Amino acid sequence: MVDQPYPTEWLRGVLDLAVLRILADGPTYGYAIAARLDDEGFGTIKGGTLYPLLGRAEAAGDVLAHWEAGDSGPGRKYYTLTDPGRVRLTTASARWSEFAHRTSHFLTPSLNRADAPTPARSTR
Amino acid sequence: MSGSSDLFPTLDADWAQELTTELRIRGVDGTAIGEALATAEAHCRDSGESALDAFGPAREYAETVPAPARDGSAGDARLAVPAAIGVAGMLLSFRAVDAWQSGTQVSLTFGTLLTWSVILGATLVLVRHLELVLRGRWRFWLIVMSLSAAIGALSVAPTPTLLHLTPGWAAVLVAGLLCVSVVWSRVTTPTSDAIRHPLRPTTRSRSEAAVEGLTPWLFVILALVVNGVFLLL
Repeated sequence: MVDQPYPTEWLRGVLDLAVLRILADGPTYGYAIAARLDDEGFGTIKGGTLYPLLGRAEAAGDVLAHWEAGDSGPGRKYYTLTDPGRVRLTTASARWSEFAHRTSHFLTPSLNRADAPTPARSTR
Repeated sequence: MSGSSDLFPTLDADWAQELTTELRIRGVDGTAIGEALATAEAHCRDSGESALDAFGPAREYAETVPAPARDGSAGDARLAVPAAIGVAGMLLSFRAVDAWQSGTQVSLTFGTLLTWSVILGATLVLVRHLELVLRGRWRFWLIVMSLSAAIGALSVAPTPTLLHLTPGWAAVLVAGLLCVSVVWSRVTTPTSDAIRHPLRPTTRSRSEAAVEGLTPWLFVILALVVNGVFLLL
């Protein structure tokens, strides 16, 4: 858990990758994905956000879905990462790491950076 | 058709009904609607949330469910034209019976043709804009009342007579129109599209099968019932 929720617009960019990453550990169902996302610090992801995302991943061929009957309920829809989904996860994760590194580097206060440009001298 | 509350008993009934309506409007089939409802039900059961809390308003959530591309004007016409022909046949049957009883002839006027055109146009609009029927019922009834008034005004308005028919020939024309409507409807009406749970077999009750079988005969039945009552009075 994190102390403060991250801004929604930050999560929007990485949520689909995070879902694929969870599915890389094995097939699971919607609520379990939402609970894991919460544990990993993504906050509470509502069904209205999660299932359209899973539907798009399914349409793109990154995940497969199937229903399994439950012992004490009407059953659950399980999602499995496909081979193309695994490739996309690997490629996009590398790109995300690169992006995150560059962004962090850029956002770090320039005084602490070794490559920071020398501040212009005061003209006074 | 099985109600969504029977198939998805733990899902909020109002939310499920609204989602079903919105998905029907968007042309989503019964299997995909069942899938969306079952997904929502399983998630709400696991999370303990209400459907509204977990998925937001049903109308907004419906927009995230993939819908097929619309069949277009040709598809609308396939559904609307047989219905409009059936209505025309039914209305003509009333005048034929009236003429037969009073010993007069049936006059097909310019107003009659206009009336049939209005019916066809209205049916096309309603088929294309199903939301007018399924959402906001007061708006639907306003349209029905306005159309009825327009049809009533057209039938009594003095317009040039195009053709006089004896009651016998009018009956032949009525039979022809109703036959075309029934056959066309049976050919073009989509097969059963009941909402299905992805894990439970859907069984059709006798009444559901009867309603489905009798739907193409709707205007024949209405014509028989109304004329029968008219003759008895």
